[in-house]
Amino acid sequence: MNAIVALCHFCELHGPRTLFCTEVLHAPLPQGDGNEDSPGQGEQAEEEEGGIQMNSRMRAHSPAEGASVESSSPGPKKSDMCEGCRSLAAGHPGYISHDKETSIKYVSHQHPSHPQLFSIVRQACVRSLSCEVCPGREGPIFFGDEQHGFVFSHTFFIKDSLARGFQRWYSIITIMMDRIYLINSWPFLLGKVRGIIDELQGKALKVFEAEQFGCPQRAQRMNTAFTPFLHQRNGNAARSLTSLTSDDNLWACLHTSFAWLLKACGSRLTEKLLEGAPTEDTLVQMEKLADLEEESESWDNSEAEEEEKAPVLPESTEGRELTQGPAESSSLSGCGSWQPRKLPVFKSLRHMRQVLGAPSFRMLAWHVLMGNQVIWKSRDVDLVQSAFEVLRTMLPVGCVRIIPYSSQYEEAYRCNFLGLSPHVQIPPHVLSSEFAVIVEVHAAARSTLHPVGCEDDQSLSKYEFVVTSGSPVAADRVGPTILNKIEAALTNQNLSVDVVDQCLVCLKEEWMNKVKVLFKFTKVDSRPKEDTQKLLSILGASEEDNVKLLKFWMTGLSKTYKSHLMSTVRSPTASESRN
Amino acid sequence: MSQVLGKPQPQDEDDAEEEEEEDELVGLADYGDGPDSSDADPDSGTEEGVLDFSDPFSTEVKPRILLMGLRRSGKSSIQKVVFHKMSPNETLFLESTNKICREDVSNSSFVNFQIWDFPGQIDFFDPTFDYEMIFRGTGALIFVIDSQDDYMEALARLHLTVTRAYKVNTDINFEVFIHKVDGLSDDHKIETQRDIHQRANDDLADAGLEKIHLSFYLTSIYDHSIFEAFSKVVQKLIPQLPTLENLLNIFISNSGIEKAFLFDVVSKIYIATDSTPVDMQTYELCCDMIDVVIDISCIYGLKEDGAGTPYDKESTAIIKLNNTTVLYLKEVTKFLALVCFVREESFERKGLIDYNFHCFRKAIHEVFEVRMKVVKSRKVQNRLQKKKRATPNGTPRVLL
Repeated sequence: MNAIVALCHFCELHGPRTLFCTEVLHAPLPQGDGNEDSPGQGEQAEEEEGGIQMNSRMRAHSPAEGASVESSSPGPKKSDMCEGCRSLAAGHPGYISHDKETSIKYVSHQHPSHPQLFSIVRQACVRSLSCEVCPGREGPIFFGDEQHGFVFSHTFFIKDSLARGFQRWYSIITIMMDRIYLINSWPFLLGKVRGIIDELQGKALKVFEAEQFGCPQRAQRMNTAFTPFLHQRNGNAARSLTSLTSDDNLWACLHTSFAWLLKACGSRLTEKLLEGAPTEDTLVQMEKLADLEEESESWDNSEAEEEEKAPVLPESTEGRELTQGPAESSSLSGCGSWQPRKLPVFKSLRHMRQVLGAPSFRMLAWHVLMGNQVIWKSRDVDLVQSAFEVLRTMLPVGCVRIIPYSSQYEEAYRCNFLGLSPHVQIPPHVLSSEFAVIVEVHAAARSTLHPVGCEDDQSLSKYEFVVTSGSPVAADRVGPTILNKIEAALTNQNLSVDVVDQCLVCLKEEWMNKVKVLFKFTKVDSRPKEDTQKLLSILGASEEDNVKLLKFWMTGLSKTYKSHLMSTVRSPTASESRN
Repeated sequence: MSQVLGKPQPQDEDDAEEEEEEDELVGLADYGDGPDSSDADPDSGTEEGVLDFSDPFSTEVKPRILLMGLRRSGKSSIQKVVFHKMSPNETLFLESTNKICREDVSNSSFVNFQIWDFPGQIDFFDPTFDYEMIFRGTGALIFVIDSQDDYMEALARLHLTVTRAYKVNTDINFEVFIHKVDGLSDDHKIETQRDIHQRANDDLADAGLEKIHLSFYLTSIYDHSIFEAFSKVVQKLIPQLPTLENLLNIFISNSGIEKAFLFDVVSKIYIATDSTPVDMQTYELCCDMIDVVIDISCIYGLKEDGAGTPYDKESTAIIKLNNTTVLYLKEVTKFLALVCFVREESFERKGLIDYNFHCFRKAIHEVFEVRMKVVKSRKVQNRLQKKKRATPNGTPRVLL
């Protein structure tokens, strides 16, 4: 764990002091150049980000920094160190433990050797003892910030018969740059640190009781209250923790405890990168996957007995047809002009917009967004498929029902994307309906019809696209807001294709959130119409087209979400009182 | 005397507006302008009081009293003894203070402040502390010096603290408590005070800061000197002080009272007295009397389930001393008590004293009401301002 564990003490003479701290040193990094010129600020900051893992050796090579620390940081001079705020004697080399497996060293000193670490630890020590308030005084608290690190601090008393108030004030702190890691380690740290503290307190209590037995301090103090002895501020020297616990091996023990704490806490948790909360689309996809699995199971189970029922599951039968379809047609089209890498497909919405031309694309997109049936008639199955793949990105996953290629017309309630072969007859009511749009793909009369320079587009230039609908979109019609935004994104050449994709995701999420609000409002709470109108205008979706869009998108909400809403908000009165 | 009885009457008729109320107070002062009233110009006094009213409430922050000084000089002991009624002997067993201890003292209608007790070990001028924030809202800085110790280090720290604090806030009252003087002989006390006074002011003069005024007090927690010193510190923070003193002057001169103190009952701080000099012994007697009254009331006055307050409107006490004086205590407001020294022959006219006290209490209540009104109107103003501030809100951002 990239952390520092330290024992701090509020000295009666000198205030908060760091007594003893254990840091983690990773195996010396291969940094030949780092040792030559003194490490710059940037380099250090970088290292700190990953955790506290500065190499104490670096200090020796930056004399300028060392000097500045002596003057600026409140480092203890030898003169104002008393027994109470010293752990290891002046010449003591400190303790070190090697972890052979990971080649990590655990080093304990009175103060961290690196100047920046010194000030971090010093500040954490002051805060833990003299600033932060723990209810009940003894106990764990958490504080810190990005700059000075995050601190888990446990304050406690050690009995001392000679101290003011008969006790001294200590704390064990764990400093880390990683806030989440530290918080997650809280229960572990609390338990183990509490154990260390209990041991210290137990030892000190024995010493205290023995001393009190020999010479009750309370009475003595009352008697000497008016003699100048107690008034001398420098009179009674503070006692060291070793004498308070009468344990000569105290610091060695603490070193092993702290080193173990660092190692154990580090191996306790491993980090995994997590995505954010699942979007509506992922939920829907997961549900579909689950449904498919269920279906295939039931299919497997029922296959033997209920063969007659096979037609009841048209999707799967069609699925089989489909898999056959493209294979056939691709071999067909392959005969015409065999271009392995330049299949005539749409790559992105922007690409499609270029190919179709802005007005046609706008009409098409308008119908897609509103949930109207989009029918593509072409001989080229790949082309149709690619068109659907591109178009579906405009809609939430739950709203997309594709029949990629069929030999007969399918009703609008079964699919909103339908691919047909050119010779299929479309019923006249569909042709004249304003709720359907038909894109007919013909072979172009002249290949130069579309003067497109791009090589990839040449494959498409052999086609001509005719977009028709029962009622063409009036030019002056504003259309759904999201359509305008999508178009704006597509026309903005400064945005790369990836950016446009992200933009689409955001737009969809934005409108999906509106859908959720509307769903809760109308279906769950059953609010009156006027309220709904108000809500819509607040959402910026009071225009007719936007309302239609929201209603269509509502069908794409995941079951999980719907059932969640329905179950959590049972009665409208309850929800109203909450609102 | 009948004049005085009659004159305060007009007060009853008029309690419409703040300003008029203030006029009434001035009027009251005029009526009672007897031969004993030594105040030069009562009008200016009250006007100042009115002007000062607005300031403490505009910030909405209670003025702070900081207790600073070297470690072990007795800061926490002072705070515990004065505000927690801790027995002085118990302070021997106090722990060293490890962080700033704040305490709100808002029990009285006039005294309304925070006490901040600092740990002496920590240098709050360290850049990691926001000492400007500490001093900005501070009303008084009490620097405690242990007189039984070598005080040279303390003087150096005093100088540093005072100059830094003055840079941040020039309105701070600097009070120096020369503490633990119970261990010094009387001559030594005077000598120590003189020496500390001399050195501290020399240091300031050397730094070219003669305009900083330091007040010195000899204090000890084993007698009433600490209460008296704290009283004076607190009095300086009470903007209504001149008004209160005026009222007390009028009251005693017309009732034949020797001396009167207005006490904060809980802390035994006197927040005002008349303009005759304060004798330490009379003050101590008053403190003792309050203790007696409160203790007896607490022990025998409370209902069996502990309900009720030991100190209320009915609270009054008369103690006759063997030197022909009478101690007379009466409740003024929920938190204030008036303690008077009366000659036995004057006390025969107790009816007059009681009537005058009645007028005095009404006047105090009016002073208090003005304060409440100011606070209220401030609150309304603040709310309006906040509303105004809340309105300029950016239009929602448009995507793309």
